[in-house]
Amino acid sequence: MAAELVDPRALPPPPSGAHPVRIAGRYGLLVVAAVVVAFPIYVAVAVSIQPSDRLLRFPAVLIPGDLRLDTFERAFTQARLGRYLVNSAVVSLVITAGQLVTSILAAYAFAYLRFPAKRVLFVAFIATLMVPSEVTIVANYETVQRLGWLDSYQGLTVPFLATAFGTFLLRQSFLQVPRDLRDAAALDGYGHWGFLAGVAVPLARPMIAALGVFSFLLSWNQYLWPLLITNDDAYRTVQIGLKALASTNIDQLNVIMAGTVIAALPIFALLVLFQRQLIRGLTSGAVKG
Amino acid sequence: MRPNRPLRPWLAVALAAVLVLGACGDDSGTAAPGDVDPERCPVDALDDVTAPVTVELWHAMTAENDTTLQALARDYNASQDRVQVRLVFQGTYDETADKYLAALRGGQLPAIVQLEETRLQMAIDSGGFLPAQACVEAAGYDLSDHLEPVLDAFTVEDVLWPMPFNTSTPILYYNTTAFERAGLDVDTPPRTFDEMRSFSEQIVSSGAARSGFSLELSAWYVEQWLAKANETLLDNDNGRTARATEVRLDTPEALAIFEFVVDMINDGLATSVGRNVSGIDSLLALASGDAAMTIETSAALGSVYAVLDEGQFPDVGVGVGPMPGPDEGGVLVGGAALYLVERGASSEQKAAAWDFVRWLNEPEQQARWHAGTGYIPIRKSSVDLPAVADLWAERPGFRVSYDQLVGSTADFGGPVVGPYRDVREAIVTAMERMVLQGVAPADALATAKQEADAAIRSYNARVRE
Amino acid sequence: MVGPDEGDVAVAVSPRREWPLALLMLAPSIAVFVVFVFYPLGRTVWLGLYEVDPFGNRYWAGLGQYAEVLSSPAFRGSLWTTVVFTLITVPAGLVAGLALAVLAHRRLRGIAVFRTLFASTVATSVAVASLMWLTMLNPSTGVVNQVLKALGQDPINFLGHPSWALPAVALATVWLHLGFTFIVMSAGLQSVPDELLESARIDGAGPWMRFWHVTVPMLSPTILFALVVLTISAFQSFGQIDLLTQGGPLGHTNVVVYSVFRNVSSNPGVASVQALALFVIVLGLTLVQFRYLERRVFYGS
Repeated sequence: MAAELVDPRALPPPPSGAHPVRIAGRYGLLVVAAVVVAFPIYVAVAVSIQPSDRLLRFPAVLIPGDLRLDTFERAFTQARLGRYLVNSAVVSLVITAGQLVTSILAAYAFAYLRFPAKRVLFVAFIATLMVPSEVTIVANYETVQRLGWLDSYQGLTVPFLATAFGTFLLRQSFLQVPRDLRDAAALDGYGHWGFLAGVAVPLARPMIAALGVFSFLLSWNQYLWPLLITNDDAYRTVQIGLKALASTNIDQLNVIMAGTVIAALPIFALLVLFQRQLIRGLTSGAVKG
Repeated sequence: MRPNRPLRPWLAVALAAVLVLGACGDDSGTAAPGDVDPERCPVDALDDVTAPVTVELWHAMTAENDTTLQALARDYNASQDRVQVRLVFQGTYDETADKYLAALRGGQLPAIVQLEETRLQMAIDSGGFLPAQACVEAAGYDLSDHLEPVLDAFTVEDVLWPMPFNTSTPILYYNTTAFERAGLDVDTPPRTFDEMRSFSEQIVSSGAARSGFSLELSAWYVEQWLAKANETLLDNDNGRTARATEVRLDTPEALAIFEFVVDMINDGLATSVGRNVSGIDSLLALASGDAAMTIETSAALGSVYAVLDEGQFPDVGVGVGPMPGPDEGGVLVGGAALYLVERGASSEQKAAAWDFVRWLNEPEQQARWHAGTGYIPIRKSSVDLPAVADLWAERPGFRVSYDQLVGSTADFGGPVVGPYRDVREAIVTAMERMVLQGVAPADALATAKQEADAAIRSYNARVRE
Repeated sequence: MVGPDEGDVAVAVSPRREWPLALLMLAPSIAVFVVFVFYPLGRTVWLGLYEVDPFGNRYWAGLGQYAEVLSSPAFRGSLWTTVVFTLITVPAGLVAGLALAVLAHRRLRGIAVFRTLFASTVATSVAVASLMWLTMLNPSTGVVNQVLKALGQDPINFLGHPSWALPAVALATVWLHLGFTFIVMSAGLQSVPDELLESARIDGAGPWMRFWHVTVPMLSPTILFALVVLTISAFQSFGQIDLLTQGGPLGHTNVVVYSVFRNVSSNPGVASVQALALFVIVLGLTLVQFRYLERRVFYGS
């Protein structure tokens, strides 16, 4: 599938002889759409870099003036935003790494190994996709509480260390390893671990990367679970920290928006750096990998 | 005095004496100090510590109130080497209470929880707290310098449950610039419902602001207005002489309050900011010219002045007056208090928690707290300190809330009932139905009464022996 | 979904000795699923049978609690709110995402800038997006109301008005998911063969004809996928409610998940029943998804 977002070569050219007016019309629509879509982000950035006394002046608020960046500094000092960002990074990286390991292993077993109750287990894996995490929060909260994992990285990560979605995705990729490669590996006396590390994983690398970026995005954006199980600033993720920042600084709109902009930046960076993987991850359910 | 029924096995100790007293028909004045076992509060446990004891305080303070509390905690930590206090913000008062209840069932509890005044009964029923009374007695702590209404508010069956800390009342905020534009005297704010209406008419007709009042749909204001009319919200003297069984929303006074609110809004004289989810919308409406007056907690004063001192709103001058109401009766203690956690706490932690709340209650700290936030200084001697006297001379608005509380003629404390959150929810929902959906005030009140009474019945039945 | 046996290919080791290795490889996933999916699911059913007081003491309530909760006006109200919320956000999101994708599906100078902008909301989390909209929609200070006032209109308390609150939250939600929908639709569009459109054009089909009779049918699997993902995510929406309206005004935005959250600590039994109802609904939707995916993969192979 086409995983390019901004490579214009993947797009059809304007029909030959297209009227300049029609092209201009399309540009017009594109500009209007872009303004509408980007407006909330623009407002957030504009508010975050202006002193408060400008925020009530319309339309001056939309034309930033008297710029200042101390709002960003205050977002860090007044709300431990740095700590929240570190927590989010740790939690997201642990979940991503964990999901990759568990789903590579499980996908390999489902793709290449024969064992009893395989079909039953496969169906059980499918079944987990049908249980949204919101459904089990009452009982999971209890479990994590009993384990003493409230306010801990374990509590924030362990429940998410396996993914049936990732398992399916990687199993599909593994199954596409050409048959003669498998036979050759068998002839060369590769064991399962050797075949996994030397052939299957390298060949499935694009899909693994896509899954990784996708997992990172989902964990970074988690809201309900971290809100429920963190009571301590030291373990709050940036999403929950933002909520705290917004409530403790109700009188400092520009500081709130500065924190919001900071919280969005890592994912913007992800979007730019790993665009191809991100798009493949987001669309892999739609178009077969 | 009729006692509440003992509700939890672990409350048996605390309530046994009360039961006996109740059976004898004693009144509250004669309770023996034996009500609570002072042994439960090992005030001397810090004497032998070799390393500082760290205690957590879960709070719900925002804006300047958060900043001031942080500063106080820093200074306390620096002032001695036995206790280190860690403040943890837990969201709104409701979210903080939810976090406490959840942690009670098996999580890590802090040493101190800040709970809204409405949570008193629930806090008692939860069985997780050490009554401050035990520490007061164990330490021989003198409460005679505290404001009586504040102590009364947090005392049930002669037991002081939390240590008071942040006490507020609602006050009137108005934009003096808008008053001037409307030709109103900036030193004479409205005192009654009638004046609220006539002032608002003048503000709107003169174009000084889009409307007279911005109004949060708040159950707290309803309770306060009832108190102004010398009415309680709950039966059994607001649940203070016996467990409350129903709300008194079927009174003419309640109806008059509801009618006033909806008429002001429907006549374009007041703007509803709904539930004021952001916590600041009612005040922002003054800054944006949507309204010229609002009612807000006195605890917003510190933040309001901080914002104005920054020069954020050059067109706004702030005026402060007592809360206008249907009558000149009393006001009730609002705000929150600090509960000492007993469940799972070591002797050192209990002693450390007590040491900190005791420190926060000292006149100097209360003076500083007042100046930073607008909360009422709860010590009589605080107001003689230069910090308060100078502030009051410079910004008389700060003393309004204090005078209002001290001068209150209400002879009853604020409501005490287990499912207070549900009761408030029923009242606010009724206001929303009335304001947003056009339901008649009497019908909205009747539904609210049904809902609140059902919640009370269900709570009283669920929290069984 | 392809059946599990299709991929059975022994590599080197004899099948009889493969099960210990399979067990080792599956164990981590199975452990997580058992502890954090299957056990809590059963536990939730059990919790639903108990009344729990705010302090965590359990009392047997039996199936009566299920009947009571499911038939309560409060629950039905929040279910209805959830359905309405879904019926607003999903079609609006699909149309907006598809429109943007079609609009940007041309090799034009500077198109990369537009495509990046359209995809950008994928980088905003629910908390980020909600705080942005909270700021814009504030009745006194928000930009939207400042525009209204500049136009001589009365300001609107969007998040506090019963008629506006749900549409306002829905708007923020559509915006939040727009990047995702755009990316998915764009990828789908790029897999529509140009030759097909070209031959339709030669046959004299105008742009609308080509769109409805070539593009949309070819895109239908993508649209269906986006439909299912958006629907399920609409049913799970929580963060935007928590930050924008807290379920109000008058419960007009009190979706099921928010109501579950509100009850987790104060009324876990009721929360359990509500969560299970949500489960049944999402299960139904997910089954639709799987049936569809199965067909897709079958035809695709």
